[in-house]
Amino acid sequence: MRRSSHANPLAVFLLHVVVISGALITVLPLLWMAYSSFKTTAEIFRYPPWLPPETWSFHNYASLLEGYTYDSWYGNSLLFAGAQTLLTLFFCSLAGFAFAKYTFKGKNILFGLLISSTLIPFQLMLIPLFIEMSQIGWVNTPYAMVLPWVAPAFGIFLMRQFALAVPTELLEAARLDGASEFRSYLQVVLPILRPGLAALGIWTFLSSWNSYIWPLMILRGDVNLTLPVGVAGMEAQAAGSATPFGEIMAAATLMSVPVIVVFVFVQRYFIAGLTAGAVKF
Amino acid sequence: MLRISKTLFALLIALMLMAGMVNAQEDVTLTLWTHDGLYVEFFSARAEEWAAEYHPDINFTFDFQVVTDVDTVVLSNLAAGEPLPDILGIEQGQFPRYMRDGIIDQAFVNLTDLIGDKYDEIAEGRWTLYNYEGGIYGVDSGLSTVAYFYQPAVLESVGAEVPTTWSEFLETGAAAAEQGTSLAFISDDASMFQMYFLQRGGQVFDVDGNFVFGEEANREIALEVLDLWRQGVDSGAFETFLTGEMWTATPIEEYQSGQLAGSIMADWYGDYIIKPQAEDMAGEWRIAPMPVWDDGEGLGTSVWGGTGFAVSKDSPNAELAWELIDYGFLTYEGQVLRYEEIGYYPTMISAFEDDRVVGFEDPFYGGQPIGEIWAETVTEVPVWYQSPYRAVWNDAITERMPLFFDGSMDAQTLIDEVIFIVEDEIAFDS
Amino acid sequence: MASTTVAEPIATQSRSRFSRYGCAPYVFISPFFLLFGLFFLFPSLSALILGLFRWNGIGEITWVGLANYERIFNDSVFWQAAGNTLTYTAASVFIIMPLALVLAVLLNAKTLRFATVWRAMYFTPVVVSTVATSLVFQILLNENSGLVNAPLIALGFDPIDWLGDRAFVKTALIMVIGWRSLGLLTIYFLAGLQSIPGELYEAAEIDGAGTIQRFFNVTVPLLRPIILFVSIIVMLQAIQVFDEPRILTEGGPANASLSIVQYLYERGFERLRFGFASSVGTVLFAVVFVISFIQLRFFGTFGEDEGS
Repeated sequence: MRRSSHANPLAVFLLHVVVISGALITVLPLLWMAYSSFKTTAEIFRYPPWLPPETWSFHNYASLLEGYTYDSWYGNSLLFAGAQTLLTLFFCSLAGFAFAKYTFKGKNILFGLLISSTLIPFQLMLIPLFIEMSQIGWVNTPYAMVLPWVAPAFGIFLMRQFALAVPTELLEAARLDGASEFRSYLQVVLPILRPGLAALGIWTFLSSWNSYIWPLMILRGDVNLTLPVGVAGMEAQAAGSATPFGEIMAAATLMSVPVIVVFVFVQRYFIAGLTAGAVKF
Repeated sequence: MLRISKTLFALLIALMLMAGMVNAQEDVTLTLWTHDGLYVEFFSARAEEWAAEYHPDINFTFDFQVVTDVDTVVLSNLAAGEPLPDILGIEQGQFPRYMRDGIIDQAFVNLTDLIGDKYDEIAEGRWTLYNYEGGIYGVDSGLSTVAYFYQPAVLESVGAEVPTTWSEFLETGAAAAEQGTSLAFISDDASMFQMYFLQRGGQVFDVDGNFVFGEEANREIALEVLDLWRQGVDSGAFETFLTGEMWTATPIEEYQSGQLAGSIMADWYGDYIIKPQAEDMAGEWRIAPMPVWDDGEGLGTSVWGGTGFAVSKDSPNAELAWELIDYGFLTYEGQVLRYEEIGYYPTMISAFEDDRVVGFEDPFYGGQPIGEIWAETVTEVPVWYQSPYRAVWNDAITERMPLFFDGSMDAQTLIDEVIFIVEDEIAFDS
Repeated sequence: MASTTVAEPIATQSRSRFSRYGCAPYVFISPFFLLFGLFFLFPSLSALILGLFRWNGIGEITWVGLANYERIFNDSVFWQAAGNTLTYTAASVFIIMPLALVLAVLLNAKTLRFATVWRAMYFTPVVVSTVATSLVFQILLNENSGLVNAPLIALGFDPIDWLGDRAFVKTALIMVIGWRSLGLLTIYFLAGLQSIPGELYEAAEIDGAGTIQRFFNVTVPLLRPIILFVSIIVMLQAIQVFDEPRILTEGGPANASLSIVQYLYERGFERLRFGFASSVGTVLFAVVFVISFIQLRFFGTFGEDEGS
């Protein structure tokens, strides 16, 4: 296993150069976003671009919080993403477990249906879904923001992959002890699914946190918006006049920092979870 | 005992009075959606005055908002049967979307009779923009006429005079370009082409909404405009911007470096594009009339822009909504205040002579009384017509203009293809 | 809550297995499928049917049969958008994906120090909103003052108009798309690499295989299932590209960056041709379905891997 023991030092050096410079290039746009958030709009579009702002201050952040209902957008984004995550975890783990550990009539057909559904472009169903929401009376409500998205086919695949690892003997043992199937799910399956739940949870949270078109259609009123819609609106509102790029960069930075920080802490689960599906594919 | 009953009696009286007051005061919420925050600012100010003056008996709540991608939101609301705002500001370029199958008439009030005699007080081209089958559905927010914004120092440094005709423009422009300065820019935005095309007297659609761009006279005008562009692009008199770059910081950088001497644009361009991005250029700008065609044909100016304020048909407060629009946009005082507060030029011809408009000396333009330039051509604002197929025409132009600019498509082909595409689209529907 | 069926002895054979759980599996999947059916299948199927009608979203709805489909194939803009999308997809599959594979091999090298740090850095763009990143790229790709052009300008070259030049706009968008997706693909490959037993490499090394040979003779064949999986994901993502061209270029100049989903969205929402837009969506679905089917058919299987 220890191939490194006779590794060529030059090759090792080159490896580091390539990997590290690539990594730096990858994070550069995000660092640039944060860097630009301290500049005025004129400074952002000045050549050479690397010149620092004349004064380092949080003026963009101050005017962002003052001139926009940024705090409401933040709260809404957190609420919708949180609710969507919890419900998705419950529905997907339950159904994924059923697909992994039970034999039942129609299983293959239903699974095939799920696979095919991933091929439908989301924009296709936008209008019918919106009309459906309106018929139910859910426009501009949290229900419309959350409920249509808590049953993603991807979640089933992921949960099924993790549930496959549940030893059948454990389930049989639980049955012998007289546990109900749901009890087995809670006490035997869920603990084993934990890394998968973490992965799916992060994935769901991110997809809600970053979603754009749907909240654009569903939400009305400045204080009810989510971050991406609000921030994109800062640009759209300025159409035909000077786009406040300084404030927009501050807004983009503030909405990105927490997800990056959280990701750094939980990346182990996220990556393990996402890839579990791939490895067993 | 007596004291208690006395207190109770007093309380009862007080309650009755309060109830009476609440009853006398009707509660009304007026909503307004638009894409531009300045309109919210303007109407919020007017609404307070108007309510105090004309409706002291109504207890108003004004819910005026900038809505992102407002037209998509409104149209999807219509599809879903969701409520509309009482007042909607429709940007003129979006108006054709509402013309499709008469949506505008189904959902918004035909304002023709309400406007009445005031029609003649306003530059006519500001009405035809919101015309659907003879009815008017919006009241426009500003004149949006065109002039040449330029930097005298830059022109001087390349030994150029302000051009007054297009042949002067090409001549001066070619000489200036040799020294690295373009006089103005053009872009692949179809509105840019339309601006030049309307000045020369062209029409894309007629008053009945028929597609007339393909008619010989209009074809000829389109070719003339493209020929002007061709010469200007080749000599460098015109710089070209693609895919919205004209809205970014690029032109501003080029004004500052002297690479670009100015731009031929509508009135709002100074206040909303140059000023906020280049405060340090105060005093360096002037305005001159748009260059005219040498043969005297066509108009002294053109037009680009506008937002029409419409009233929702389903609104329970449609009458109040119209009153507010009328108060804000169709009174002499409202027109002047609109200019003073948010910088949109009056559309009412008489308001141009007001001292607060014509006499306004903006230090950004070195104290030049710019109102005079706008007033000069106010009667020549092109009158033009909308159609639901304008978006198709727009797209067809925008998709081809970059090919024309770089020489890979000639003017003849461009115009023929555009005509074919629009006629084909119209045929698809019939 | 779910099932109160008393477990039967294990000895019971598979034929009667079903009765052992009672209706538990159906109860477990029903909340999911209820939501899935209501909020995914139903609207999707409605859209497919809508493709046979003319409808502006508001007024009456008119049966037009296959007229919308006829029109799609006669519309040159559709073919432009299809061509652009094909370019995005090809670039994703043949440039971005191999790049991710190589990067994964590098990140997996035993001699690399602080691998998790670099891995996290490559992955970061995946978690950031496309709205935020598109706005940053507007700044980075600016012709005169953007960081991407700054070295060119400093060296005295003409700056490239990344978003305004037909020759470069697709390259620019592919860079942005690659930047966003590289990290995720790399992670998939890394996981696959970590599942390859080290002994295989040792054996190959003893046989005298060099680094490159080991990559092609051991890594690639063993990663085949992962490569298939990733290629489908990549293809699905690339075919549905929307945010970047919409925010960065609006599809221009001269439609050079217009994607097919953008075409669908704009025809539907901007021209109010919802029937037509739905027929575009149906065509897209059919194409994606056929390609995925071929990929699965010829390069792998989607079999039941229970107990593996």
